[in-house]
Amino acid sequence: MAQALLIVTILASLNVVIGTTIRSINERIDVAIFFKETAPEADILALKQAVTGWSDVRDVIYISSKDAMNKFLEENRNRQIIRSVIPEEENFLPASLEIKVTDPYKIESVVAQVRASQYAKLISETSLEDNQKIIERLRNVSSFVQRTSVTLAAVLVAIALLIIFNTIRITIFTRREEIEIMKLVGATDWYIRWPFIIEGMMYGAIATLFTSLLLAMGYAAIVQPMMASYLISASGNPAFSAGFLVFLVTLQLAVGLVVGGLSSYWATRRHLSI
Amino acid sequence: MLDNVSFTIRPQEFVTLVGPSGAGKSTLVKLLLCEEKPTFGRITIDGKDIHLLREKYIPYYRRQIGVVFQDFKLLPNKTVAENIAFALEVSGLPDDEITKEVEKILDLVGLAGRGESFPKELSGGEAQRVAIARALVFKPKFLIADEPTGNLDPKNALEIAKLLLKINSMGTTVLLATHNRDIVDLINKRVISIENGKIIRDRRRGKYDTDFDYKL
Repeated sequence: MAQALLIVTILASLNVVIGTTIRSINERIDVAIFFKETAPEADILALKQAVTGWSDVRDVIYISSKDAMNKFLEENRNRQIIRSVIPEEENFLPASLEIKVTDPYKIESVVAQVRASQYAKLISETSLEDNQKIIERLRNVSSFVQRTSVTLAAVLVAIALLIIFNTIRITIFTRREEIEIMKLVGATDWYIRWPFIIEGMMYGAIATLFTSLLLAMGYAAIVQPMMASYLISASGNPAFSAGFLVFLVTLQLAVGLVVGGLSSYWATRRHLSI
Repeated sequence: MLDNVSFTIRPQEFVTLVGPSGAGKSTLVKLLLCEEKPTFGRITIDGKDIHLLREKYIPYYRRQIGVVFQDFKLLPNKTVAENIAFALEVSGLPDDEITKEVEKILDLVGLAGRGESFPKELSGGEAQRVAIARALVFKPKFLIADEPTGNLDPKNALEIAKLLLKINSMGTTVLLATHNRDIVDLINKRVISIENGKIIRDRRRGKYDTDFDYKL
């Protein structure tokens, strides 16, 4: 039974981790609007003001062409070949607004709104066309995963509950003679019940602690390399900070204790003739 | 099953309940312990109807009644002293007081010094004494013994009967349920006879009646 509980909790926590990853990916889906060289900065900033106020928009960042150039140079500071080709004075990178949306499915409508606004003629192009396919795929995967992960989590919790319930049931049966004597001698119901509830909580706690350990190891081995890929940038990503992991572990522990305690309580209710 | 059974026990009385197996003696004991509820009628102790008690108070009620059974009902993994102490632990008495109480009680039942033995090391008679000791641990006013000599040889059975009389003489009301003729005759106190759930006789001083010879 310990192994079964282990597997269940491992799956449950993987579930949670994938869920948070998906959410962080969703937050990274944004669109960049590039402006013509002739577009005046004041107008772009005005557009930024307007867009920031829209309900579907989480955040808007303005990158002037100077900023864009600096960023480009910074990212490529080790590549001499590229730097040698760039002329000193000219700035060929356009200014842009990076818009982050609240819901990945709203990207198209936000872009459409911008295009329909009075600033439309300032726009040279958006990143939407390039990334359309990727965005599609990301959205499909993420919504699928989110839907299945909720059902999966519910099923897993139910299974864990049943496993602990059954184990406690067996313990109660094994100790029934002792329990009968306790009742005869005048022990109250809770006096008899508490040891079983604590036993159940122990099962829950140990199982979750063990899986947290495994998860920590898995994180170091698998997730960290993943953070190097361009889809998930490490800086400021909440999913993988140490604080968040601690939160995840405590949450799991709490769930383990509650599930363990509750299911053994029910086992005592049903199988102790108290 | 009991059928319209009615009787009164006075304080410090010794009542022997006799009847063949299945007559209803054990059912009566269960009713007195609140393990079962009467379908009709009342059971009052000191004037209070015990079946009006809320479920959560039943354990406290049970602590006021000492019970002894045919199969001793001792915890096999605990020593004699621990078995007796267990009843006190359950009520939350502090440890040092418990040790003192246990010593006194062991002395009373004639098992002084046997505190560290385990139930399986004891003879039937000794085990039953431990059970009686445990039953007395709360100084109950009422002691119920349900076939206490059932698993004992005649000599030990006699010892137990004498112990019960001694306890009764110290002020505890005793109800003894048994179908052991010799014991009943020896005790020679009030006898209530039960057969097929009905009381057929209630004598102030009685012997196990010869009417009970088994008709085959």
